[in-house]
Amino acid sequence: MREIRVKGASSLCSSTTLCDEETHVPQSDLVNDEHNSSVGAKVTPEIEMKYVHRVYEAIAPHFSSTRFAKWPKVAAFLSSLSSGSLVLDAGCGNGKYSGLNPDCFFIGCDISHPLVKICADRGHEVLVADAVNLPYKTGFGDAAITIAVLHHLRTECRRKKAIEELVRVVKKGGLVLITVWAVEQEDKSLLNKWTPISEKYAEEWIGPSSPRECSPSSFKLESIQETEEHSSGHAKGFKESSEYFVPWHLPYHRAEVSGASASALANGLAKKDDKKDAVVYNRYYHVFSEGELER
Amino acid sequence: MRLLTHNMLSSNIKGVTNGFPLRIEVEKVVEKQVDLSPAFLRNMFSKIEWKALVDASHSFGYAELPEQADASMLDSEDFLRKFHHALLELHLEEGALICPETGRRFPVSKGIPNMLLHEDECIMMTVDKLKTTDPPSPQIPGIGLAREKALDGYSKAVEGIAKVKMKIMSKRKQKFIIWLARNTKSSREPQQVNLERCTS
Repeated sequence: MREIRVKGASSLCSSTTLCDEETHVPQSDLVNDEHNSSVGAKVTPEIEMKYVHRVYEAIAPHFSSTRFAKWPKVAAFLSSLSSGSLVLDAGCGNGKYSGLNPDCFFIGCDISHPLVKICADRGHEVLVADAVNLPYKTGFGDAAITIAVLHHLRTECRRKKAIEELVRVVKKGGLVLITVWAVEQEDKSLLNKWTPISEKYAEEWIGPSSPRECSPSSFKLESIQETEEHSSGHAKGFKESSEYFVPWHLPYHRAEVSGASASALANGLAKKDDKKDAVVYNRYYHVFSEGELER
Repeated sequence: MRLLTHNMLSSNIKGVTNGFPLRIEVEKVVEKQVDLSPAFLRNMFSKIEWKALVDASHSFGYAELPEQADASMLDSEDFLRKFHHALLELHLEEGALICPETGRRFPVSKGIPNMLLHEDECIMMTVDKLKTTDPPSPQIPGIGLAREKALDGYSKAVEGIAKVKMKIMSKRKQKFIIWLARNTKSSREPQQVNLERCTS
């Protein structure tokens, strides 16, 4: 690697602002109650901010270290692309699909800065951007993928917008591969680990009467228990709910590394599970049913 | 950030009609060697806005690219090498990208551009205003209905998507839905891609 310093080309970077950018947490700027009162497709709901963005900020290194298994069908799709294709990966996570087809070039984006940094350290071309509002020219990519991303978007409008964006950024005739978690799970024991987001919760968060009363600190995670009873009418009950908190167990020894866990525990974003020696974060998921994407 | 990415990025701030090309503030440029792929370069040449690439490469201190280029030059090995170098081997490590219309500054730190917008910079769509609460639809009936109507209009606005195939498949007991969409703004027939149940 060779470093080139360009003389005279820098116009206003002489200040120290660049050093500050590293510690800058973009999401915190976005948590703005005034704007949350009118929720559009491109306005990130607070629940995503808290239970997707901030959680991934905190668990990024551990999450990344466990994300290495590649889905064979995604790999098959990528290898079916013609040599020399430009593939855009929205919500690239730790970039495990980038470079899966060495004959293609990948540009990834994710809203989680720590995950993007992991990609960059691995030599991938990445940027921090929102899948709902891609800062890309129209039709530049040859193909696009969004793997296990859409289920983190809170509203149907945002999910549609994300699909629309992916289609927009690929060339005419270009393919877009989308995968999401399904609501129909074969392994029912998995469901017991997920916490449906109750109607009461939904009202508290998004009810029209008092949308702003739930400040992040006032919401507690007490209702989230892995032992929650799902035994009666399991399948039926499952069909009725599409919104879940899916726990992420961050082992204590990893929690030390990420550093963010202490504050997450303090402000209620995470809780301790001494039996499992882990800090438990809850991630927001909208799980899809068959046919939902086609609507 | 490579100049390939710079040639793709466009400011998407509310009210901006032409967010391309982003102006570059250069603090530090690094060079990293990558293998040259003629197939990729040929493919990208048709997409690249040449002038933006030349101007950007100048700001990086690289002056080897010709001011104008046409596809016949792709037969020249010398040209391919310079194109490859400018497109993929020069990285903006520290600096910023500036929206050409609003002057909004997007920082580039450790090679990573941060293109996230603040909420007041995002485009709001009128149809969304009906969906202010956007609840799980079955649970709050009245709002669910308004939402359906709003979405009906919205989905009509989403054009050019062909649903090629959708499958539910499982991986390690977890089920996923895989959906393949195609941008159908061209007249070409959708290509069938075989996505079958995974047997893991």
